[in-house]
Amino acid sequence: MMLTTMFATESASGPMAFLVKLFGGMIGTNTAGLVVAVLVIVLVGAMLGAINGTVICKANVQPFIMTIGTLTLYRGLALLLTSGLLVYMNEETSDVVEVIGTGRAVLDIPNQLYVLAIVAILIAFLLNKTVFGRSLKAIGGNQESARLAGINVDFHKISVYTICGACAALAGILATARTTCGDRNLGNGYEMNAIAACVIGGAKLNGGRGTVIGTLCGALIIGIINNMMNLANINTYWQYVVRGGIVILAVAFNSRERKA
Amino acid sequence: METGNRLKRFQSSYASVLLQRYSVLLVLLVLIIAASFMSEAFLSYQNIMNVLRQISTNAILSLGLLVVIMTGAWTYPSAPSWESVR
Repeated sequence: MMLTTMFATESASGPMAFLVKLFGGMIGTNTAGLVVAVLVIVLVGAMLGAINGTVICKANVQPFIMTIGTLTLYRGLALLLTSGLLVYMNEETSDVVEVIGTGRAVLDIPNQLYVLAIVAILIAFLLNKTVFGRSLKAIGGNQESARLAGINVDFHKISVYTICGACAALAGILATARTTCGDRNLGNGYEMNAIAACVIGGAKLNGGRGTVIGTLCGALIIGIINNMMNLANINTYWQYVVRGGIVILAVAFNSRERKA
Repeated sequence: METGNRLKRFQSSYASVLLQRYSVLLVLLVLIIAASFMSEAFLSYQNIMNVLRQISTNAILSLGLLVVIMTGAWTYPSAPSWESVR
């Protein structure tokens, strides 16, 4: 198995703004290496998520501050590890990685969509069909009464951050596989996109409300708006302006609804 | 006063609940229609697949975040949620 320095993917997810970085990734020229590397990266992501969750719950750090803090921290680590340079893969490795990045396995549909479908189904199942998911909603509705009802709040919160870390790692892998090149700037602005997708999809920032379908629609709305602006040949910088505005509008709309 | 009451009645009415629940889908639909008018390339198979591929990264990220947001774990560290107590 060839050792390659790669996956300097920085994927910033909302709650933990997260860096996936596997240096000396274990991708060889075969697919088995790829599978192992993906698993390791997702595990590292989950671990970093768990650390974030633990600090937030046990040390009582404001989640938002923790998020911004680790975002900066991991970004700094990414810079240190790559010396601020792009990390290229060699020929054989990028051939293997392109299976995820640009491959179309079945029906001429990009492989990323299959990954997304699997994740969406898993999360929907978790939220709607398991005791764990019910408990999450209960905590989101009213944390104190959930605790009095015998739900281990800290455990659930930490596992929630762990799941988020794993998802962020997976997203980072997909983004990196497309460019077949480790770029520490790759995840810039991803955190805002993720927040926007959730909020547009009807999730309440105070908890208790939100659906998988809604979030997917939210992501689609942002994607279509970006695509429209690209097709209309609008300056890329405007996309930031529009995206920020949309988030503020969506949150305002959501809180108005709650008051009523 | 009267208008206030009427507003309240509307807000709890069936139509309003439907509108709130499906507003995301509605916005999505309007956007798709607007985009397809704006550019003929929008509804081409290549472009649709391109958009879907582009959002898949963000969508996975958002689904992870959704789980956190649903738990309310992102806004309140350990204090009870006053929003729901009230």
